[in-house]
Amino acid sequence: MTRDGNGRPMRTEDDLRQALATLERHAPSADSVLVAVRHASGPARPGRFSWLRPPGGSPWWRRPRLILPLATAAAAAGLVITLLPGSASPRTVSVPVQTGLPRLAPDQAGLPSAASVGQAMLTAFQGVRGDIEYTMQTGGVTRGVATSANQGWSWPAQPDPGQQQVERTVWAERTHRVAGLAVFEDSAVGYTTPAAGVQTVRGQVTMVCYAGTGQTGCGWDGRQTPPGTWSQVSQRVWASTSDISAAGGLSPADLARGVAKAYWQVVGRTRLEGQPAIELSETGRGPVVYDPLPTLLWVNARTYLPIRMVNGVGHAQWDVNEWAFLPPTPGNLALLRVRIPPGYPRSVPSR
Amino acid sequence: MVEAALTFEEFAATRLPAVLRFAAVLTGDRGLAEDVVQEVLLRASRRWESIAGLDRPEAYVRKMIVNEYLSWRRRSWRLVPSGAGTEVDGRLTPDPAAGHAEREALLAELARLPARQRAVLVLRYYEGFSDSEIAETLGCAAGTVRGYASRALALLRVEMTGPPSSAQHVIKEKS
Repeated sequence: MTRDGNGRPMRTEDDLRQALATLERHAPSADSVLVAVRHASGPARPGRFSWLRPPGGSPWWRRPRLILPLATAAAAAGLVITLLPGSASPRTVSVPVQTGLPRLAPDQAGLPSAASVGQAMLTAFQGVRGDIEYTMQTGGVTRGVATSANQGWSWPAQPDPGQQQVERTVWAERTHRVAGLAVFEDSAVGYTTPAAGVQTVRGQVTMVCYAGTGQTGCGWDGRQTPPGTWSQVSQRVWASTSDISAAGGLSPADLARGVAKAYWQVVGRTRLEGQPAIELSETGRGPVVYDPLPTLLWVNARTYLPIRMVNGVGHAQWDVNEWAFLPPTPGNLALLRVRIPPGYPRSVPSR
Repeated sequence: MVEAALTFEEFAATRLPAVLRFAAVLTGDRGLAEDVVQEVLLRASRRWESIAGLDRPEAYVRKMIVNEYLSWRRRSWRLVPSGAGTEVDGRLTPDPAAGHAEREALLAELARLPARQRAVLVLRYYEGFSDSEIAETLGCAAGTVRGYASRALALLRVEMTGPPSSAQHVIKEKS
C-alpha cells in the first residue's frame, strides 16, 4: 500500500498479485472434478452439464432433415408455465425446444452486407425496447434430444435509468433421475435500472429450488436456497444497464454489433418458421467465439430481429438460442412471475 | 526427437491441480470453478488428440477455461458474488491480521469487476501473461487488453509501478 499525491492510499501491483494468489484456496479437488467428468462421459449422464458432447456421435446432421414442427417462442413460454405448478416433483417441462437443424437452401442472390444487416438489427431493437425479451437456450442437442433448456423473460427489453426491471429465468436440465427435462430452478430478480456506468444494484431475488433433481441447493456464491423451498432476499445483482441483453442469455445487441463489425458474414437468404430470414455465419475473427464453430444465425429479413442461432453445426451436438419479443400484455407480463409450487415453504438462503 | 504427446490421463495427473488453482483465482468461487473446469475437461477429453498435438496443451485448456468463464457470466443471470474471499479458510492461508481486512476488501472489489476486466487482471498478475498473450487468449487486440487493465486498475486503486510489460515477470509456469 502506498499513497497518491493527495495522500490517499493506493494499492500496488504486488498487493494485487498477493490477493489473487490467496484465491487459490478456492481450488476444487482434482479427484472430485475427474470423477464428475468421468461420470458425465458415461451413458447415464447427470444433468449438471449443459453442453455435453459425447464421443463418436453419428453424423446424422449431415442427412437432409426437415425442421421439426415448432411452436412459436411465445407459445413455448406459455406451455412451460402451465406445467410448472402443481405436478409431482421433480417438475418436468415439455418445452417444444428447437432440436432440429433447418434444411438450408440459401438464396445467394442480392445479399445485403453484414454491416447493413448489423445496423438494421440495432435499429430494430430500438423499436422493441418496451417489449418483453424472451430467450430460449437449448444446450447439448444430440439426435433431437436436448440436455438443458434455459428460458428467460426480461422486461423491458431495453430499460432506461430509473425504470423498474424484471427478469425471470427457468433452468431445466436432463437428469438420469427423471425422463425428460427437469426444472432445477425458477428465479426472478427485480431492481431499479441504474444510471449508465453503474454495474451492480440492490435487487430483490426470488428463487425456487426444485427438489428431486439431486442438486444440493440453488444460488450463487455460497448463498444457497435448499431444494424443495423458495426464498426471497435483497442482494446485489448485475444490472442490465441500458443495453438489450437483459435476459441473461446472449445479447442480441452484442450480436448486432458483431454483425455490423463483420465478425459475421451473410451467407444467404432462406425461410425459417415461415419467416423470411437472412442467414449469417460467424467468421471466428470476432472477440466472442461461440465454441465450437461453425455458428449460424438467422435474422428476420423484414423485422431484422434475431430468430435463432445454432452453435456447433456439424458437431455431434449443438446448442440453440432463440429469441422473441413479446408485447407487454397482461398475459405476457404474467410470464415474468416465478411460480412457487404448492407445498414449497419459504426458506432463508444459507451462507 | 519428437516428444510423445501428453495423454489426457497424464494431463489430469500432472497439470490439473494448477489448472484448478487458475480456475479458482479466475472465478473466485469454488463451485463455479468446479463447474467451469468440469465442462471444459469434458469437452477437452472428447478431442484430446487434437489438443495434445498443440505446442502448449495446458495453455489451450486455460484458454477454454477463460472462454467458459466468460460464457457463464454471459448466460448466468445477474447475481453478484458477495465478495470472493469472504469464505476464508485459515487452515490453508494463514494471513497476518493487519493485511487481512485490506486484502479481503480488494478481493471483494475484484469480484465486482466486469468479467473481462477481471480475466485480464488474473491473466496478467496471476498467470504472468504478456498483453499479447492475453489478447490471444481473449480474442481481442492488445490495445483492448491494456484498456481493460487500466480501467480495472483504476477501479481498484492499484498504482502501476512501471510500464505494462513490467507485470510480466511473475510465475510463468505454476504447477
